Parts: sequence; structure tokens; C-alpha cells
Amino acid sequence: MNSSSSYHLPCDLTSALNLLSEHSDSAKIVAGGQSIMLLLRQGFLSSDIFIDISDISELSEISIQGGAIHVGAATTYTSLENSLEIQPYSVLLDSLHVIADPQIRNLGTIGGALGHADPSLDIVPPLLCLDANVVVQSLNATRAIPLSDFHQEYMTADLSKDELIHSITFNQPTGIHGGAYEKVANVEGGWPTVGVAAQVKLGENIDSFLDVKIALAAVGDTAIRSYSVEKSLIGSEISMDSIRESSKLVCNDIDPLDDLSGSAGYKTHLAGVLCQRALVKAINRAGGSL
Amino acid sequence: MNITFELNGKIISAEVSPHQPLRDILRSQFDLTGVKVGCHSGRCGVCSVLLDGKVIKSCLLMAPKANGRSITTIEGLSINGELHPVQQSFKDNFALQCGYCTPGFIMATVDYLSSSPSNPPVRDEIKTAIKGNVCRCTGYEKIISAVSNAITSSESL
Ligand SMILES: Cc1cc2nc3c(=O)[nH]c(=O)nc-3n(C[C@H](O)[C@H](O)[C@H](O)COP(=O)(O)OP(=O)(O)OC[C@H]3O[C@@H](n4cnc5c(N)ncnc54)[C@H](O)[C@@H]3O)c2cc1C
Repeated sequence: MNSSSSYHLPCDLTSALNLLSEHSDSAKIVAGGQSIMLLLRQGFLSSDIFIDISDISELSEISIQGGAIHVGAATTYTSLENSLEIQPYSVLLDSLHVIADPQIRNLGTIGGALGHADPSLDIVPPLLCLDANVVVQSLNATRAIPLSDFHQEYMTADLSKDELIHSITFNQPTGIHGGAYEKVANVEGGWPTVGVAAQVKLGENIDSFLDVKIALAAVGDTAIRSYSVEKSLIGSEISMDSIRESSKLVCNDIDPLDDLSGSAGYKTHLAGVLCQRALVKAINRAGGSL
Repeated sequence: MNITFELNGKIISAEVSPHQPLRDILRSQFDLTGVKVGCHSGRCGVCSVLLDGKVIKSCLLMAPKANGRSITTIEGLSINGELHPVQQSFKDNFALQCGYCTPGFIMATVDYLSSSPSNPPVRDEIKTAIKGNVCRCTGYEKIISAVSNAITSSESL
């Protein structure tokens, strides 16, 4: 056993923040530990001081305040999937159902995902479509940052060493709306080769787009919105032709890599196909028909 | 560090390091070799155990996380030598070939049964419930039957 390593399991947020400010240079926050355990085994983590936040009940609360939903950072994927508050958010629910497997979802947390900042995480595109904010806290300050600014570089979260993610918040969609997440993976329960989230808001007659949001996983350094597809659809009438044509524009916004899960060309094609599927499902869920 | 937790119904203490996965503690300090070693990366599920009744992969559980919690391994399922209904169902349905993946599949099934599965059983739902476990003999059909029959007979429990 490494004698200098210490593992803390604080029960309240203030103790955790105190520990973090005291050891900020060498401490690592542990939530579910699903990514950390792998990094430790691979020798990518040198921290010896671990601050486990899973006993802090405040960090696993889900609440609705003034039309916005707040999800504590240490909420596991499984609790989120089963929570009543989250059931109306089909774009988020779709992604929760396809993340890894029950074992990983029983421990992995939403805050751990955002802290890990992998561009292939399934939960990030749906949260981008919901315009989520990340609430970050240190001993002295609390700040809220749009998720789109929180991940700006590959595997990097906008966190100082004395800060932790407290919660994730997003507004309830208004009007006639629907959302969906579509993913293709090489193996059942595997990371996405490409993942696409769509959230739509339809006009009164359910025949036009008032608003469209599209976001993708596994196609670049970070998860990313596809403004090209969004712009070409907003204001237009709903038709299979327009969806098909607009989905092709997704190639303007992504930069996938050639790797073992597929070539860049294949992933670009896949992104277009999944974009169509996610849009069709989102429209149907909003009550539209195609 | 020293941790105390409930292991298969008994309160025990163990000396652990954050760098150790719980799997290694269970096997080396407690001789619970029904907790198997496979991929070391959370993909194959042979090391699955229950943490407070929920299935997790013990190769991915930092050992200190067990402190104050309850852990159940395959060795803790039978009572007075009588197989747990899920174990019995795997036996009755010939749902094992080499047997290496069996403890993991059984632990995943025990958790699934406790989360009100559809009854009559739904094949796709079962496949989703056990997708964190790999059977390298590819004996999935019998495993699905075993899970399905465990659900049907749990009604009469
Ligand atoms: C086998 C396997 C398969 C997987 N498959 C998928 C998949 O298909 N799709 C998918 O999306 N993901 C997948 N994942 C990744 C999974 O989503 C993440 O491992 C998980 O969400 C991380 O959560 P955690 O709570 O375990 O984080 P941890 O491992 O505890 O932490 C991860 C990082 O975030 C930091 N952190 C954690 N909480 C906070 C906080 N509150 N504030 C600040 N920093 C924090 C930690 O310091 C660490 O750097 C898979 C993982 C494994 C092991």
C-alpha cells in the first residue's frame, strides 16, 4: 500500500471544499470513480489525496426551482434515469438508456462525466441541446458557466484546482417540443462511434420549426453544436426533404478522426444519418408527423 | 487506510489503498474467488458484485468506497446451502458452459429482478439488463431463458 495516500469521505460540502482548498495541488475529486479507477490502473493519475464526494447528500439532489431543473453533480446515471423530474426530457433520457451498462450507470455520475470531459460522452450533447449551465463552487465563490464554454479543449473542463462541480441546471423546454438522442457504437454498451442529440420546438400548426438544436458526440475535441443544420431548419416547414438536405450540412461543423471505431469519412456520413433519425424522432415526439 | 463494511452479511474490516480495486481485496484477503478477473477495464462483468443491493463491477470500485456499505458476492447468495432462485434458474436452464462468466451474470440478474422487471418477461429488456456481462462461450440464449424463468417464477415467491 502507498503509505502517503489518503482517502477522504466528507459528509458535507463545506468539509469537502475545505479539504480541496487545503490540498488543491495534489487532490483528486472522486465521484463514482469509474473513469478514475481506469486512469489509476493505466498510470495516468499521480494523485495521492482523494476527496470522495459521494456521501454528500446535497450533491445528489434533483430539484425543480422556478421552471429550471437542478441536478446535483454526484447524482448517478441510474438515479437520474429513474427520477420523475427527468422523465419529460426525452433527449436526456434517450442518452441515459444507452450509456455503458447497468453496472457503470449505478456508479457513474453526471458531474464525473462533465469533469472527465471526454468528447465521446453520451450525456453531453443532450445537455448542450437543453442549454445547460454548470454550477461550480469553491470555498469563496460560486459561478455558473454555460456547458458550451465549460469544455473548450480536448478532455479539459474549465475548473480551478480549488473548485468542484456542484450541479447542472437547465430550463424546461416551452411550447410544442420534442427531443431525441441517437447513437451508433461498435459493441452493445460501448462508447459512441457517433452520437447525435436533437431538440425541436414546433410552430402552432406543428408544421414548421420555431427552434432546432443539434449537438454531437465523438466528432472532434469536444462535443459540439451543429449551427449549420440548426440555421437551415429554423423557420422552415417540416418535410422529409428539408431534414435530409439540412442533415448533410452537419459536415461543416464536425472534425472526426480516423480511428479504430471508423474512418473520418464513415463518421461524417454516420453523423448525417443519425442527425436525420434524431430529428424525425424529436418531431414525432412533439406530435408532428412525417 | 482501514475500512469497515458488511461482506455477505458479516461486518468485517480490511486494510486497503485507494489504488486497489475492491475485487483484489475480495479475492486476496477474503478468498472470495467467485469474483472473477477478466478484462481489468469494466467491460466484461465477471467481477460483478452488489453494492448496497445494486450491481457494480468490482474492478472499477476503488476499495475505500466500500467503507460503511454492504457488499454481496456470489458466495453470499445461497442461504443454508440452498441455491438462490436465480442460481437455481441458471442451473435448471443449463445457462452455463465454462462457467467463468456465471457469477457476474447472476449478480446482474439479482439486481435486475429487484428493480421490477416486466412480467411476462420482455426479451429486449433482459438483453439490456445483462449487457454489461460478456459470455465468451456465447451461450446467451440459455442465459436469457434463465433470466426469463427467474422472473416468471419469482411471482410465486
Ligand atoms: C467500461 C466503461 C464503459 C463506458 N461507456 C460509456 C458510454 O458508452 N457512454 C458514455 O457516455 N460514457 C461511458 N463511460 C464513461 C462514464 O460515463 C464515466 O466514467 C462516468 O460518467 C464518470 O463518472 P464518475 O462519477 O465515475 O467519475 P469519476 O471517475 O469519479 O471522475 C471523473 C473525473 O471527473 C472529476 N470529477 C468527478 N466529480 C466531480 C465534481 N463534482 N467536480 C469536479 N470534478 C469532478 C474527477 O476528478 C475525474 O477527473 C464508460 C466508462 C467505463 C468504465
